[in-house]
Amino acid sequence: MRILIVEDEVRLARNIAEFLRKPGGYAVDIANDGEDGLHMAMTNPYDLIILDLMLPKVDGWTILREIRSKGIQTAVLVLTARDTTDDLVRGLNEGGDDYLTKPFELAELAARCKALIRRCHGRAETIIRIGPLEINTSSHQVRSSGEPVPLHAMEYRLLEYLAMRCGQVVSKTDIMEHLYDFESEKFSNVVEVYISSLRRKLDQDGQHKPIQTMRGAGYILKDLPS
Amino acid sequence: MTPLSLKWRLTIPVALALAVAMVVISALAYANFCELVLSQTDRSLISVGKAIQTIMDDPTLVTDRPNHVKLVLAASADQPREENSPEDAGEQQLTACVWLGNRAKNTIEIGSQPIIGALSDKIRGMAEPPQGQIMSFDMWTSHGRFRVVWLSVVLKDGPGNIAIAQSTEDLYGELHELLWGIIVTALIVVIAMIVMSSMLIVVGLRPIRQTADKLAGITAGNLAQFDWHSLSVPAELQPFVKTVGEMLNRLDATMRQQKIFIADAAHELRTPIAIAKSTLQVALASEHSAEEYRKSLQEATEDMRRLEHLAEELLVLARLDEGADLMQVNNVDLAHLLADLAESYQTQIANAGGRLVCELAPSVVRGDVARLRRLFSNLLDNALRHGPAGGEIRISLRKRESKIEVSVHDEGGNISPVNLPHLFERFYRADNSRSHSTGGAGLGLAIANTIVVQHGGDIRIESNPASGTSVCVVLPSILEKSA
Repeated sequence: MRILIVEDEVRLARNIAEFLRKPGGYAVDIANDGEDGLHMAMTNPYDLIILDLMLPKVDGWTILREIRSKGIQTAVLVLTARDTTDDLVRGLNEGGDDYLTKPFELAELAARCKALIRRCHGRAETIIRIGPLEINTSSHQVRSSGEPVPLHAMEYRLLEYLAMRCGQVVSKTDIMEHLYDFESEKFSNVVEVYISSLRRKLDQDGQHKPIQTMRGAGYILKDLPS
Repeated sequence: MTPLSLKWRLTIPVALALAVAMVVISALAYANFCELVLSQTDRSLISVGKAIQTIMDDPTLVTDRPNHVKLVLAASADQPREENSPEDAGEQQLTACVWLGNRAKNTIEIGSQPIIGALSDKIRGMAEPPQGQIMSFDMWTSHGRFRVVWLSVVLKDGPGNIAIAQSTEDLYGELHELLWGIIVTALIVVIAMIVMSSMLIVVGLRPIRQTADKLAGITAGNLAQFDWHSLSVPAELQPFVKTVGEMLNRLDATMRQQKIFIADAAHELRTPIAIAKSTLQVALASEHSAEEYRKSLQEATEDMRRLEHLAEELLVLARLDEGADLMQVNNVDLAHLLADLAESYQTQIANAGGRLVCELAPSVVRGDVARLRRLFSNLLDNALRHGPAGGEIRISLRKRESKIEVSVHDEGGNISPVNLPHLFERFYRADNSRSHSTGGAGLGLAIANTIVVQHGGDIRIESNPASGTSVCVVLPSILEKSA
């Protein structure tokens, strides 16, 4: 999952990013002004945008209006230090999905991010069940037929991404774009490496084959019978 | 005591005036009418007198004068009215006394006896009118009031007198009826006027009630919703409604400014708290090296400093807003104040590798020392913050006619002309200087502006990349005040 933070307070943005990038967390990009933020939101497929309203160059309301008018459905969490109802109502009316008033708890921000992303994929529950697989999106625990499966942070991110799009084919580029932010070092074969390690860990006896390769198209996590 | 209602305050004087006018007009009309009626009576009595004179002069009638006089009187008398009793009928008739020469002899007396007696008594007590003259007067008898005309005539047989009396009881009865009619009509008119005027006043005051109803719906939240243009009030009330409307608009503007200020202040206060909090939470969220912890603590300390500075500025602004009444105004040696201030900045500027140059002409202004000091230290802080590292800061103090001009100049010239007009607004920060590394919440110049305005002065800022930025403060010189 990849998140964009548009926040002009450099250190606040950095702190949020650091908190959200924690092991098992998200790929996070930062824009420090409205212009960059708008550009990045338009050109990259984010799962969530954390948007400050008072921004230099282009303000948050304009960004919201612009991306919504371009049909970008990404969930937007509005951050604001102004708490007058006018501001909040306006933020939500322009297409914001949720808001937080500064100062806030980072843990609360992370929880709201998670909930928003989940809802964006049409899931209300925190645990995703696919056949024998059980993915707890809040504790990042994965179980297969009741047995805990220990995963690395990137493996978990990849699995969660595939699970959110269960039954859909996702291309390697999609995966790259959603799992890595601009700061990550990218190797083209890294996706294959994680896919194969996930397959090994999730399907030790080789019965289910949960992740399948669609040649030339990408990968798919099939909804398996439990 | 509650003051008399407007209705009565207007109605009572108008009713009184109207009543007085009615009394005067009625009295005049009545008096005139009485006079008219009496003079008519007199004229008819005189013509009867003339007729009697003719009889007296007619030699053919010498023997039968009394009968002829009687006939003339009967013919001239008013027709008895139906309702009058027979006794009254006698009184309707004219009574006449005619005599030649001496009153005691040659007298023809025609009419009812008591009236003739009364008439004789009356005439006896009076002087005869001069020859050929006519006299008329009122006479009161036991039978009521009479009008008497007394002609002194020259007959063929010598001078003679003819006195004719007619009862005026009926006449006065009618006049009294007329008087009552006038009084009743006047009363009705006055009462109708009172009722109508009080009704009209209620109607006339209705726009005020409507305005009041509209105003009752106005609260702090919807001050501007009082749309006085839409109220159809009479011209007399327009100024009142307009004043109220304008006052509410002014209040609304103030409230709105206050709201914006509070929202801005909230933003400025919350942001450093949010940053410090997030820094500490990130530090606590997982294990870090000692170096990383130190960095986090340093950053949090820096945020606290920013907050402290902001709190200080907000307090200063709040105190300044309390008004100019709290100013302690004295003669202030501005050159001395600036030299002193420059000295305290010297080390700081030197440490940053810059220079501070002062050109101070001796000048004295009226003002509050502490506020003036705050004003110029804010300007120096700004120069230090926005000027290039190692640049020169110049303070110059000049006298110009009746004004004193202080300018603080630095070599940074990157303020865009778009931002210049807004620099003195509270919390305004030009975008390019927005990053908090340069510090300041955008209150420094707002505070400076408030202080300058309180001192009756003027502040402006000029900036261009070639010459740098100057903030110029113009204060009235003390000479102007004493002059």
